[in-house]
Amino acid sequence: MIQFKNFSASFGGRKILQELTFSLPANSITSIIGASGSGKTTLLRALCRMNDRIENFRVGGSILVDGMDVCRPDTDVYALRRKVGLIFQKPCVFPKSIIDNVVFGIREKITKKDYPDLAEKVLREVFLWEEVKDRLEEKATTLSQGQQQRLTLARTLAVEPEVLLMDEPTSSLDPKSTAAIEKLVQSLKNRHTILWVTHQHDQAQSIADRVLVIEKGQVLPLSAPIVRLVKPFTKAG
Amino acid sequence: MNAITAEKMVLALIGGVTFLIVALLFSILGVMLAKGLPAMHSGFLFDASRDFGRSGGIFYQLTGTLMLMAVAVLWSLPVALGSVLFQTEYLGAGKFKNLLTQLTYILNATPTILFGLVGYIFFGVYLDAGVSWVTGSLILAVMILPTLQVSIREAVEALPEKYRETGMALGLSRPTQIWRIILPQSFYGMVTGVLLGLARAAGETAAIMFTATTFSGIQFPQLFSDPVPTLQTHILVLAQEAANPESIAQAWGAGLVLLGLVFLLTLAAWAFRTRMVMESEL
Amino acid sequence: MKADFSGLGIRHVEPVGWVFAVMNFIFLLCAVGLGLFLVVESVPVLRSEGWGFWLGENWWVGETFGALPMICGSLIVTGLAIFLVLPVALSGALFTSEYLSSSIRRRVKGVMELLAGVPGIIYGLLGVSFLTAGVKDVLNLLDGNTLFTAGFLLAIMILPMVLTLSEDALHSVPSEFREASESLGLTKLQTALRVVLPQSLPGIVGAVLLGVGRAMGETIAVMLVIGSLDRVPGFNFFVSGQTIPSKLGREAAEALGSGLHWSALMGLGLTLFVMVAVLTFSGNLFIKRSSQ
Ligand SMILES: Nc1ncnc2c1ncn2[C@@H]1O[C@H](COP(=O)(O)OP(=O)(O)OP(=O)(O)O)[C@@H](O)[C@H]1O
Ligand SMILES: [Mg+2]
Repeated sequence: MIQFKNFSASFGGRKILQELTFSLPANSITSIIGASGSGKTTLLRALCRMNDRIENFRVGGSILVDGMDVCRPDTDVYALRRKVGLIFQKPCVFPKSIIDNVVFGIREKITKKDYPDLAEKVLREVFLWEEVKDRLEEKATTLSQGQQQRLTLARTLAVEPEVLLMDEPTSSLDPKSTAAIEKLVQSLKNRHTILWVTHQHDQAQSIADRVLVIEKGQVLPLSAPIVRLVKPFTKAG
Repeated sequence: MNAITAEKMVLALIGGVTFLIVALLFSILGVMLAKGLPAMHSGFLFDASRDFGRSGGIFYQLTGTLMLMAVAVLWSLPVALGSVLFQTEYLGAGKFKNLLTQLTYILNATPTILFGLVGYIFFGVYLDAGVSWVTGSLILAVMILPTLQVSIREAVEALPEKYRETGMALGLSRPTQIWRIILPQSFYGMVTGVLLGLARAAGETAAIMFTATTFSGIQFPQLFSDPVPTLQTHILVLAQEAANPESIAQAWGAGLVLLGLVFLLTLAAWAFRTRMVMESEL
Repeated sequence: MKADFSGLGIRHVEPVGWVFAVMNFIFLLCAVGLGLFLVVESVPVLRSEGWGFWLGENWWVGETFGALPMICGSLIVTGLAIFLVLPVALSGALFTSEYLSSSIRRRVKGVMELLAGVPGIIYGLLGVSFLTAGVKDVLNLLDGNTLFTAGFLLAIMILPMVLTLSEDALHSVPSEFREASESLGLTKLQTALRVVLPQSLPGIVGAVLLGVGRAMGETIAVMLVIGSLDRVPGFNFFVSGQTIPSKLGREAAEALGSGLHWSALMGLGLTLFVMVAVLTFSGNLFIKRSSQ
């Protein structure tokens, strides 16, 4: 359960998100659409405090994840990020072996002999196991884009987050990998709360339980199927 | 929670170390000022030294250093510019080009005193220039050659491909292209290289102390075969008379002037490098 | 005028190009000539001493030339400098790159880069005035001109350069990697140590090697504080010693240009050149291997 209460965000005085109040029920898929530059990425990054290192980034209001306020300065951000996993638009794998990438986030939580089992489990979840089971020691950078994207997903799942934030995870993928990821996300729904950012209107409607639109700093529910498609790469207004 | 405490401790440790480093380096500058400024009586820069450097000024030492630096750059610049243009404009990528690049790096990493040894044999003995300012400037010229080459090459290679292609599309011959496009575009890089080379030459003592310089006896060289007094040698000799407070005081004064010279050249080089970056972003 | 350099990958050359070619040839001569002269001029001493030149412990002008004390001295002093500088420079680089805000970082870098150019003679002056006396008093020695003093002075001298170049290497790791790691819940320090440091290792090794090279070749600063005593040091670093460059600096003016003494100095020069070259070369190998 995630609740936004009067949440706003700005970069150096420029308001990107204004007074958002809405909530996301647990174990559901919500997708967010909106024009380029409307603040979708900003919303996701604020949710797991990834913008902390940006000096002129300011937030107001609050975001509650399971009743815990994300925005408070004394929040344990490391625990938060384990609870709220973020998948980036562009897959970023470390120049290490595939298996090292998978266990990267939980290396000291489990013992070395548990690595293979865990890796198999999460790689199966992301439908990557069959493709990489014979090359776990190879460099992860040799994988294709789509495989790398699924690997980053597996890496995040290994940390066992309750919430999954996905920032256009299929935008650089071919239709087949896209379909694989979409299917995968559907299968994760009963254990995770998922927030999925996309530019593709039809994708949003086909996978999500609920579609939200960000426009002019506001979040609105998408009611009727709208004719006015949200075009990628054009500035709003 | 425990891990976070540990992290904070490590952070405090490396933060403290960083602070100490910066403090140490500033204290070096502070010491130079505190020790050097008292020696700066009026005329320190413009009087000849007297009494084996124990009193008077450093005029001829300063002119000697400036002269060696300047002449070294005069020797070195044409070679650096020519060789870089040859490598970037005429040589295709290949083993030979790689070898030349490697040689630049090797020359850059070579201990400076070796330039003095070999340079003395070649210029001083075989070319019969003896222990003289000519030998010294030639040695410094070879020593700063890689510095100049690296700066000039950076500037030439930073030139966007589209300019070159525009030139080619207009049918410019290669010399015209070099003259009209590449040289103007890499001008700031060249200036940066020259200034850094001057700074490097100004700071060098080992390579010239036994091949070009003298402590006393000569003020300004009259002949090609005369040695020259320099700030570096002056400081070196005075520093070794640690028992004599007057000598040490003069050494600090000369040291501060030398340091100021090197800093000035380096800062000027940065200013030009910034210009270069801005121009190439146009 | 047409030239065929095709074997070397040279394209067609016009007359002006020949001027550039000549300049390039002069550069080539300088670089090759340096190595060649070192070898040729050391032949006489290597003839007369054989392997004994590197193994001999005595350097008595007119009788025998043994370079072992200087070789050991150079290795010890350089080793000491690196041992002292590494933890300090790496902590500083890590803190500067990962924790300082960009405006402060730029200022710190500016100071470091400026200080990296401070001439050796200035460090020498600081060394004779403060460090030797300090070492003597603090460690209660008879003479403050020791191998340790030289190593310590060199450590201070190469610190700005090693720090700023390692920091460049750390800072050039794209921030996506940091974000990917932090989004998995790793702390900043864990991210720095596990993601950023390994990826910038080649650059850091390169920076350290440049520092080693500079320390090994420094003449003036070392010459002024090392005590200039040709003796194979044991494991006591608090005694006077000699490095190759300091020996060259002390004796080049006496031997100037002729005789076996000069050849012996050139032999020392050759040895130094090879030591620096081996270091640089093995460093490059390491960088190539680890960046694959
Ligand atoms: N680090 C930053 N500093 C300043 N402004 C920023 C920064 N990051 C993003 N912005 C601004 O915030 C606004 C929202 O950006 P955001 O990346 O959230 O858009 P988005 O909806 O994800 O767009 P896209 O669909 O193109 O990914 C943009 O106007 C952008 O310029
Ligand atoms: Mg975005």
